[in-house]
Amino acid sequence: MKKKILSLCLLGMSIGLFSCNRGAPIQGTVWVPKYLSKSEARDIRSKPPQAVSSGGKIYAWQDFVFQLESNAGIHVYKLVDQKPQPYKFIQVYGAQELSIRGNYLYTNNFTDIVTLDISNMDQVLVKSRVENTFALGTSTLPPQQGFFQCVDTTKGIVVGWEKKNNIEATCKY
Amino acid sequence: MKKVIYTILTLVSLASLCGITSCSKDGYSEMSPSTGTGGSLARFTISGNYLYAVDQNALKTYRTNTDGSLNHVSTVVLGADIETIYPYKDKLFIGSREAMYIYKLNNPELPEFEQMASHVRACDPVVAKDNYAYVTVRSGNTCGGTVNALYIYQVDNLNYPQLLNTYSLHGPYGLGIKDNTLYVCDGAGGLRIFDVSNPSGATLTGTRAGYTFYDCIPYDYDNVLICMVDGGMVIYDISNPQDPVFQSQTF
Repeated sequence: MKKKILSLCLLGMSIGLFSCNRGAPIQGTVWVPKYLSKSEARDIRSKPPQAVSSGGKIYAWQDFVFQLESNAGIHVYKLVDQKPQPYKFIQVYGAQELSIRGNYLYTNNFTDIVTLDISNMDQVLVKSRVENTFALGTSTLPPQQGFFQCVDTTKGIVVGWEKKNNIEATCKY
Repeated sequence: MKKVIYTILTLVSLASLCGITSCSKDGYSEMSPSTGTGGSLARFTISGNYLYAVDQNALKTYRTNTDGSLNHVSTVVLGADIETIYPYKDKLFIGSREAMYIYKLNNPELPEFEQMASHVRACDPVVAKDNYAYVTVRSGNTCGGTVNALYIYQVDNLNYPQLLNTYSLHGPYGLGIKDNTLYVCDGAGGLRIFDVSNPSGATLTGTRAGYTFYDCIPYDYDNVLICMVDGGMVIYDISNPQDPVFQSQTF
C-alpha cells in the first residue's frame, strides 16, 4: 500500500501537480480547495459598487478610475472634482489585469483574456475570449505548508482554500 | 449650402470615429485619446492597435479588432519571472526579477529585442521618459535580493542602458512620471517626489506619508495623481507636480 501511495506521489510530482512525503494519508484538519465550476468562473457581470477588500492594480480611462479586486473583479469609480465616486463593480473572477481602448476593456478571467464592451457599464458585454493564453503560474497550493486535500480539476477552478476538520489528505508540500 | 453642411457633418463624424477606433498612424498609445493609462505594475498594456501582455515568461501580442475580438499574433519568450510592462513611444520596457528589457515596435506584431540591463535580483517596475528609464528594485521574500533603490538609466542610441545614478530607498514598488517630476511609491516609506529635470542629478524634493504606497498614475484628466495604497486608492492634486495635495481616498 505504501508503495502504491509513493508511486502515485511520484507520478503527481513528475507532472508537477504537487509534492508528497512518504507517509500514508492523514486524517485531520487540513487545507481544502474551494472550487468554482467552469460556468460560474465565466460569469461576468455588472454589479452595484462594492467596498474594496483586497485592492489590486489601478487604471484610468476618460473620467473613470479602476481598481482590481484581486481575483474577483474590477471596481469602477467616476472621477468628479478630483474625487472618485463609487460607480460599478464588474464581476470577473480571476481578474488581475486590465487595459482599455475605445469602449473595450481587456482583462484576464483566470488564464483567459476577455474583451468587455463597457459602452454601457450597467450591463457589460463579453465580446470575445482567448482561452488559456495568460499563464501566471499561480500555484494551486494552499497558503501554508503541510498536508492538504489534493486538487481535483474535474470540480472546476481553485479560487481559494479553507481549513476543514476530519479530512483525509494525501498531498503535502 | 446643404451639401457643405453634410460634408462638415461627415468629416466631424469621421473624426469622432477616429477617436473611438484611433486612426493614429504612429500607434503610440499616449497619442490615442481613447486608450487608458495603466500603472507601472501592469502586465497588460495597449500601444496602437495592439494589446501586449507579459505572463510569467513571455511577451504576447494581440491585435485588437473593432468588433472586440483579439488575434494572438506572436509570443516572444523572455525568460523567468517577468513582472511588468510599460509602453513609451515606439518601445516596450519590461521588468523582470533579473533585468530590464527594452523591445522596439518597428513591427508592432513582433516586438524586437533592443537592449537590456541586468541588475541585482529584485522586483523591478520601470517607467520611461525621453531618453531615460527609471527602475525601482525591491528586496524581500518574494522578490529575493537585499537592495532597495531607484536606478536611473540613459537608454538612447546605446547598445545597453547606461546606469547614471542610484538612490537608496525603503522598499519601493511602482512609480510614475509627469513632466520633470518622478513619483516613487516607496511602500511604508511614503510617496517620494523627485525632481528629474536633470536625470543624472535627480533630487528628492519631498515625501508624502500616511499610507503604504504601491503604485501611482499621474493622470492629465483633472490633474490628479492616482495612487494605489494599502486599503484602496488615494488621489492627489498635482497642478503643481512637485507639490501633490491630498484630495480624497476610496476607503
